[in-house]
Amino acid sequence: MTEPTRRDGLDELRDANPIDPDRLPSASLTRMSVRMQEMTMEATTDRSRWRRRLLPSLAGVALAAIVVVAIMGNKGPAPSIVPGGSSNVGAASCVETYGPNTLVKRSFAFDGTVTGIAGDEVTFKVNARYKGTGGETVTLTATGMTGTAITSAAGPNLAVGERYLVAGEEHFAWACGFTQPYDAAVAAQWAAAFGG
Amino acid sequence: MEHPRLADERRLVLESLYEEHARVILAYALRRLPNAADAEEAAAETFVVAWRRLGDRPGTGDALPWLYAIARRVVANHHRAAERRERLRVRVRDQAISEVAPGPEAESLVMDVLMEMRADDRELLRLVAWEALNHAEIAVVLGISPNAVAIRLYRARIRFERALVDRRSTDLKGSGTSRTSIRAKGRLWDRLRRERSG
Repeated sequence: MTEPTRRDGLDELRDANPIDPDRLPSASLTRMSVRMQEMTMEATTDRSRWRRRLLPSLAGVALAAIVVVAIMGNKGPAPSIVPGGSSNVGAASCVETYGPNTLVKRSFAFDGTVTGIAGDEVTFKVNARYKGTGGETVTLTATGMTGTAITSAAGPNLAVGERYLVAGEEHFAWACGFTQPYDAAVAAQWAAAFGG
Repeated sequence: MEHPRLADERRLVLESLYEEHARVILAYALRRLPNAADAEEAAAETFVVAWRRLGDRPGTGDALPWLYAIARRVVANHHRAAERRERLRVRVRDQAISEVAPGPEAESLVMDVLMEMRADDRELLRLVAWEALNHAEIAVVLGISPNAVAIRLYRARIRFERALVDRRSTDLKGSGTSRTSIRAKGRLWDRLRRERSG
């Protein structure tokens, strides 16, 4: 594991911050405010105009859309400018998608029982090690799985005394299936995947 | 037609969001777009999109990460539009930072190295260092899990540290300070213009 040893680059980056929000000129904020009001006015006007002109033909358009979707199939939603809720965490939100091929690439994997949780740091007693080296206990960063984050989506909520299958890289327990509640059948699959 | 009372309520919410977050959203846009006019437009657009989509606002927690997530997409659209304009006209050399806020020197070695990072690394580092967001907030902005944020940020920091060391080492070998400062100022905004934030 490689830790940064010299002065923290993030601190240097903080010092190089080119914009201080408290020093923005009022002229810039005024232009922004005026532009926002123009846009909201345009949006309101456009919506009214749209309703007046297009509402009568909406039924026909909707029918056509249904026919097109039925023929072409649904290709999924167009990219939206508005983010969805944070609970909608799919494979794209993970570092990698969990599967046999990606599991075996992790630098460590073990069956362990949680003995302590401090913030995002979780200590495990190792019951069986499938890959990697270390002692009988290991402490890992398990961001998003300790109940300290807004969401624990894509990972289990780890609890002291509970047993898990854990895989990851560096000092991180990975979520998204790479860390999951212990199951004997899955443990056997992990052991086989790592050549155990 | 939206009921006038609902419209008034939505406007009040917009005004509240604007009053609380206008400066940081404008700062976010200024840090990422090559001129002040584009940044002001993008920041205004961010609030208009938020106003239209108030129903999508997370029910709990601070609205700021949600606003940053909208701003990120708006800024990305501005980058794409700027690229299209770039093909049709001579490059305009107005620069956001020098126009509106004389902060630390943008031509620093740190900025130069930052702009050479991968786009996803760069955005992660900026969200931590400049927007001062935590892992959970960044997860909302980028639409990824907090776990993925922690792992990617750790790796981005290592790559950034190594790049800084390499650049300093290179500059030391060949009268580097002047070379860096000369190169950086010219290249910084060229890179910003080319940047994809997605």
